Amino acid sequence: MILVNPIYTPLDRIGWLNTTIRCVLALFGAYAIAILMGSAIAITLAMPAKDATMSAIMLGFVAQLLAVLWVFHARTLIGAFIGLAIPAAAAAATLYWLTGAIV
Amino acid sequence: MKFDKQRSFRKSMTWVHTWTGLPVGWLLFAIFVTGTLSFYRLEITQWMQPETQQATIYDQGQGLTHATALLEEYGADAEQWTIGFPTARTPLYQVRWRVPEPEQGEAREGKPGSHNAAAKSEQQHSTAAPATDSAGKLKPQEGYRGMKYFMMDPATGQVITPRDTAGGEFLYRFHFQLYGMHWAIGRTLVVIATFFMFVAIITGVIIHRNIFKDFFSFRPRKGQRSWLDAHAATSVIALPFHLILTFSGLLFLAGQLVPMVAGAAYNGDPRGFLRDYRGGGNIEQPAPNPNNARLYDINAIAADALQRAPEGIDSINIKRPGKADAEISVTTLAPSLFGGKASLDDLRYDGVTGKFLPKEEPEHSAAETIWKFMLTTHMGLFATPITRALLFLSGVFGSVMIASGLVMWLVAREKDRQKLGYMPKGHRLVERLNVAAIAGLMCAVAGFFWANRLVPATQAERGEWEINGFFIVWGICLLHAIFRPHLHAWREQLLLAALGLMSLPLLNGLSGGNFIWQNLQQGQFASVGFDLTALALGLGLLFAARQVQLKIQAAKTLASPAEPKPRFNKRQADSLQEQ
Amino acid sequence: MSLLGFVLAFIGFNLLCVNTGRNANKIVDMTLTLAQQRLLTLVGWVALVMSLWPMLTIDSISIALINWAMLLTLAACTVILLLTYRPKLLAVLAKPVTHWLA
Repeated sequence: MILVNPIYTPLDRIGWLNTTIRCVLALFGAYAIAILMGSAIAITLAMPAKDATMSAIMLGFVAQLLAVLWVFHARTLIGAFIGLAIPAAAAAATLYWLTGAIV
Repeated sequence: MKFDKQRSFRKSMTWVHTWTGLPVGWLLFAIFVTGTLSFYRLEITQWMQPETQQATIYDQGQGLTHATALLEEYGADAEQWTIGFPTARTPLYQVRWRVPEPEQGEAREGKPGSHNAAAKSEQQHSTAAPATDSAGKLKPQEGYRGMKYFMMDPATGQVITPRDTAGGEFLYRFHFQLYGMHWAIGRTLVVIATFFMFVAIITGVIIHRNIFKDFFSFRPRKGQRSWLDAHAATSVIALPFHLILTFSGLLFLAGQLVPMVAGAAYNGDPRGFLRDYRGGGNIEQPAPNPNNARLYDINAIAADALQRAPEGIDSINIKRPGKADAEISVTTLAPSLFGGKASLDDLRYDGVTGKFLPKEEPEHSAAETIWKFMLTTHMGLFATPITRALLFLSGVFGSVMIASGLVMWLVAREKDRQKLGYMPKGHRLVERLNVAAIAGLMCAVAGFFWANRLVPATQAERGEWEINGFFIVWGICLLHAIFRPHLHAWREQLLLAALGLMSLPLLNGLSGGNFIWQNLQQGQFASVGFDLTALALGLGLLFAARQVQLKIQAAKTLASPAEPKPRFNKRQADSLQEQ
Repeated sequence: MSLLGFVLAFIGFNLLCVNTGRNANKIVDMTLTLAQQRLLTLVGWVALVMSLWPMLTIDSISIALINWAMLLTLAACTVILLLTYRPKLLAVLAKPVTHWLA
């Protein structure tokens, strides 16, 4: 349903604002994804710490890349935001649950 | 770009590709060029120390004996000896030893201005003849962390003291931590640019329609189409190289961008990861044995090592020479993914008995193998001369890729500018930055090498002067680009860079080094390679300058006096329209 | 051995580019049927992949992969330069193939 009826906000309609918000999301939101998902992967993988960290760093960068691509392809700003927020929240929840702290 | 309208994936990715490529393109070009040159940083340092070109490098078999004799004389109480063997890349023996007192070791790797610490600590007025102290003994040069060293002619055993130089090390460090700022800031800027590059490459692959069809078409002299072809072709031709080097660049500098991820599995301390990565600090070091014992014959060890590794020897490292628990470790030229920093294999021997100590290879996970594979490819330390040349060629392709992308941005918007009737300030800024960042950087590189020869050999702080030469020329090019018309700026700077580089072989012979044919005779292939490459790059730039010249002439014949000049600013355009 | 790898990669790229319609006219004087195009494409890809094998006989897998990537770069560069500036040379080299096709 959301694919057929995307939810636009007034922010979407202002060209320069739309672009700027997406750039901010891509710069900081994707970075947050890299850190959060990377850390979550590092502590959940069942490998020795060194190997888990290496995998986590590599996968974290890939996640950051995908986040950037998503931010600029999402139809609406809300879509862009939610696409970042859900994995970030999941990763943060995992981190909190497993270590008692988020970073 | 209308983000609120429905658009294809390709269209979004094109936007991302343009706007991740352009803002950091200028910095990325500098990173690519200095990185490509860094593949030959040892050769560059050799060229920049022309005194080394006077050595006769053909080892009569006595080189190692001479080296050991030097070490016994000067480093008798050292805790570590290192003998760097002459290779095609560095034709002299490098004889190093570390004295027990660490007080000279304040220049640490990575700290600002620590490029080639020999240039910084204990200024030596170097000439080709080594300085001696009052007892008539030779004065060694200072290296990192209390290391002292000599460079030695392999044939005669004579110590050669070349001039201090910033060397290829400057280009290498600029490549990943820039210059003139704290190393952490420099590395952070570089890693951010690297991530932009990573996004640009992936989006580039996504938007490249039918990667093989377009790949094989290169249509020169067709304006925008040709620039697009050049950009696409240079990217795709060396695509594995670009992907591996960009991603490994991210991995190298991951400590700058995502240290929290490194620390996540180590209770928040990234240093735990570093310790594990470098090979475990958990092994207990046994107490050093104070008894003296004669060191085993190094020549025999070298012969045995050569049998095991016919590729050759890179260096021999001796820990605690002259003591009962001496250890000899021979780094060979055989490549090894897990062979430490140099990614070369090493063989261990007992220092007193000369017995070979086989190593047990620990298991390596897939993650570590991939990681090490990426980093090893990036550094290219294992590379044979041909592979190294191909890595260099791929780097040249990458630099052309970035340069053609930057130029294409302007060329693609020519129609928009014509519709507008004037040149927007942003486009003019891009024009100027393009010239300064691309042609200007090549001038700066030529200026760096010229400064190496123009600054007298006995000048104190020579390295600083050479680096200043690099940045001063770059700064002048920026000013030149601001004030000259676009195409003229291109032509003049490309010409300057071309002449600067092509004259280097001549300059080499005239200023303390040798001419190409002399170097060939003496076997100084590193310098020959440098001269020939400078010549080739200079020719390429000359060709580019010629193309710009043709374009200038074509534009002159097209524009007639009756037509209005296509560039004035917005104010004038508006007022013209109002008339 | 590396030469063999280079030759294979070179042939591979060559065959691939013979295929694409725009370039076909430059190299072969005849139009290829769809089946022939597909065959040439397949052989081209196989040749590219096979060019890894000679590299593997010299070195371990990781070094071989790096050398292979470099080799592909060199072969592709050669093909593209020839295609742009001297397509007749490529036609000469592709003669045995065209003979067999006709």
